Amino acid sequence: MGGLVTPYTITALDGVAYGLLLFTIAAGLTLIVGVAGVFSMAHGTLYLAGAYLAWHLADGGWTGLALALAAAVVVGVLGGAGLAAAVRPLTDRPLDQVLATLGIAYIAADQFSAVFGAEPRSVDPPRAVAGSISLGDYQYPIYRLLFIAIGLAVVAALFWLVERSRVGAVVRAVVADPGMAAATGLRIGIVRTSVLAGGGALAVTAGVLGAPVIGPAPGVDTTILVYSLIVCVVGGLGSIRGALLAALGVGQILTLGVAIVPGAAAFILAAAMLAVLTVRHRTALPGRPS
Amino acid sequence: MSSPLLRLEAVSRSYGARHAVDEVSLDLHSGARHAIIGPNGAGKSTLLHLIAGSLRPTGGRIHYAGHDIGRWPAHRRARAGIARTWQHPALARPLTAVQNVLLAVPGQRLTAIRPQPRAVAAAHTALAQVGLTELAERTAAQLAYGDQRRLDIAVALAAQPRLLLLDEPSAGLATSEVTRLAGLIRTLPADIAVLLVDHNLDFVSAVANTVTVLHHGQHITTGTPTEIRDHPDVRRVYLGTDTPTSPTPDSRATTAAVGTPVLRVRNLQAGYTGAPVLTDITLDVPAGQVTAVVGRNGAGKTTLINTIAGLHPAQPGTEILLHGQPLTGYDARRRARAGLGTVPQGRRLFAGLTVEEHLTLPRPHPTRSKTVDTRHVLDLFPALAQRRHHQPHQLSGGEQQMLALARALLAAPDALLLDEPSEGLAPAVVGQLATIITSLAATGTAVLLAEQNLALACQVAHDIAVLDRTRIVRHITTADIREDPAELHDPLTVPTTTPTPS
Repeated sequence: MGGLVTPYTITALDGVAYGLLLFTIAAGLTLIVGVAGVFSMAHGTLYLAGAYLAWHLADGGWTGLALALAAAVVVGVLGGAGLAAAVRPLTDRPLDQVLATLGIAYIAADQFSAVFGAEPRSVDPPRAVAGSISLGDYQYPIYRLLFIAIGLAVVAALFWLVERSRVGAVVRAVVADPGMAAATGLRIGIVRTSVLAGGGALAVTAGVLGAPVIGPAPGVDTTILVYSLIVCVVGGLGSIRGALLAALGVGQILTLGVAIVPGAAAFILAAAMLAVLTVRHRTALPGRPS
Repeated sequence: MSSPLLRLEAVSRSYGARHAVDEVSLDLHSGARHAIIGPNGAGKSTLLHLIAGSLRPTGGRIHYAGHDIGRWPAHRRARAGIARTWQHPALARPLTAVQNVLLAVPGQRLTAIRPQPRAVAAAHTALAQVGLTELAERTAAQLAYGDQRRLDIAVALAAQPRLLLLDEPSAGLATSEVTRLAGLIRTLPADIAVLLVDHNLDFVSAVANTVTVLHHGQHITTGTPTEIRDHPDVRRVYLGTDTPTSPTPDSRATTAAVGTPVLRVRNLQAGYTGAPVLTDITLDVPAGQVTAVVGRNGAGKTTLINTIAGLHPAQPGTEILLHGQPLTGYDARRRARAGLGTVPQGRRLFAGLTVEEHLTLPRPHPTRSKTVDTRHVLDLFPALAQRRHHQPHQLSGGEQQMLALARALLAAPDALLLDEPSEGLAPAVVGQLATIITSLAATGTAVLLAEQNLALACQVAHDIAVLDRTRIVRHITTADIREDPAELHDPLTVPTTTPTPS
């Protein structure tokens, strides 16, 4: 036990929490890109909306958190459906969709600053889980452990939904061959809108739960967006499994990487991305059916 | 004879266990006009890619002008004099024709502000070679499709190649344009070797001195167009049979009550990038009947099936009716919901989904009167039961076809579209397939079958429509074919007519 708990394993644990948070956000985005073909630049905005929601409704008890979570689902579904409606006239014009969602993200960022102020806000977890427990010689925040548990539950639920249920089979069929899925009788339009709404709900919920870890502040939306895009691209668009591996990897590089080689973490992240993309491209080519 | 300009020694390219090109050997001398033909998936385009360097061989050697170029990158091969055109013209659309050609003229300095007069002259020479002088200042986007193809060849010629690779140069061209293209290729300088891949066999016999036939990646034979025409193996691979004279008696031809047609197609027109592929197609498929559409490669069979299924846009004037209900304005899903089932070419199974998941997707729409008994459908395909947790790439070709069929049947279609179901299947499995198709029709389903395998078409179909050069040229009942096999033989045999200049 004592040998296991070193500053590095504690940092690695932080990395797991960070990775699971990224996964919760990016899993929605990877499905949105894979299924609906929409590179939503407003995905970070949804996280930030959730974080502000948590800040606004947090009262140090469970009620505030529950209220914030309920509101998050509503805001996320409405936000996702709204995005779907906004990009619907731009079907098959991916660059225009990027511009449209980017515009929405800018407008939203401006509104957030106007409403919530430009200074970073800190969000406290509910009092019951606000303290720390000792892991060997170190104190570790309970909320972070709880967050890891919630994150793992989200992972399990998403895996079940996407890889085991009929809903998931429909979604994956639309990713694989939208034309043939339509000819099989599946409603492509509704599947796409639902994925945008579901992905939105996931991102806003992640914002509520993640607010004590990455608190609301101007610019957080862009940071989260960039990391989720990295997770999506490295993990492969539309792949939940890939997103999980990529998110955990990015989480480790951003925590453990910073601890071991401060200042070089950004370069490590870029190098790791390039390495993964190169290797995957090489191995993907030969077996690919044509 | 001098040493060949290009020599392929047992060149192979495999994707996993699949051999796209399997130990093909070939010699090409300067001045050769050599064509490669073969059914879809024979490995023709792959072979061109291997020679041009856009794919690397997984086995064998490629010698060009005395060098082993197997490991050379594509640009080095291009500089050594190998030029190519693409299946679809690869042009810079905003640039004018002459600017497109200029990009390919060798020996220019990148830093030069204006193109050198010598290069401009070379570009105009190349344009004159293909007869595009008058259109030199038009942008590529403004050119008609046939002119774009000629411009693509001009771009290749401007690089002053010693070996010119043409990938389906006649695809999408009208008959008169094909004739002009054949003339152009014949009059290319004698020191250029031309290797072309094409589906249009009339064009091939007009242009090529030598023809090589590939099938499933393997070299079948090489010879003059006349030798190829009479070669029994070629007929076999191209048509799936040597003669359509041995259909098994169709037990149900007499029992089928011919009612009003379930599926009606009127004046169907479709095309790709402006080039017509199908014109004025009219077909009726009554309940309980199998209508087969046969035709050579590239005749438009797949486009026909996809256009009816809503997977390819139809042009104005087309009418598709199911039970009298017009489907033309519907998307693929609403056509499926109205009762149209599709088993597309290449099966189009969903990668990453298991067999079981495939079978949970389709559901007959509640508004439809016809119901389907899932267990009964699966009883048709016992092989799938043991494969429930496998994904498409783990299935054999036959099992994939059965899965694609089951997926279509689970939606309880009134009309079923089948595109080349026998493609890549062993003869025993084709026999099984014939039984299934026959029993489907027996339950009242209208079946439209696009097939290259004439024996299968004759075995299961009540009537056969022959597709040739964008239209249906003949429509006969299978009974008539049995009496007079030559009926079908003429429009289908490998090179029918020598092209008449128009």
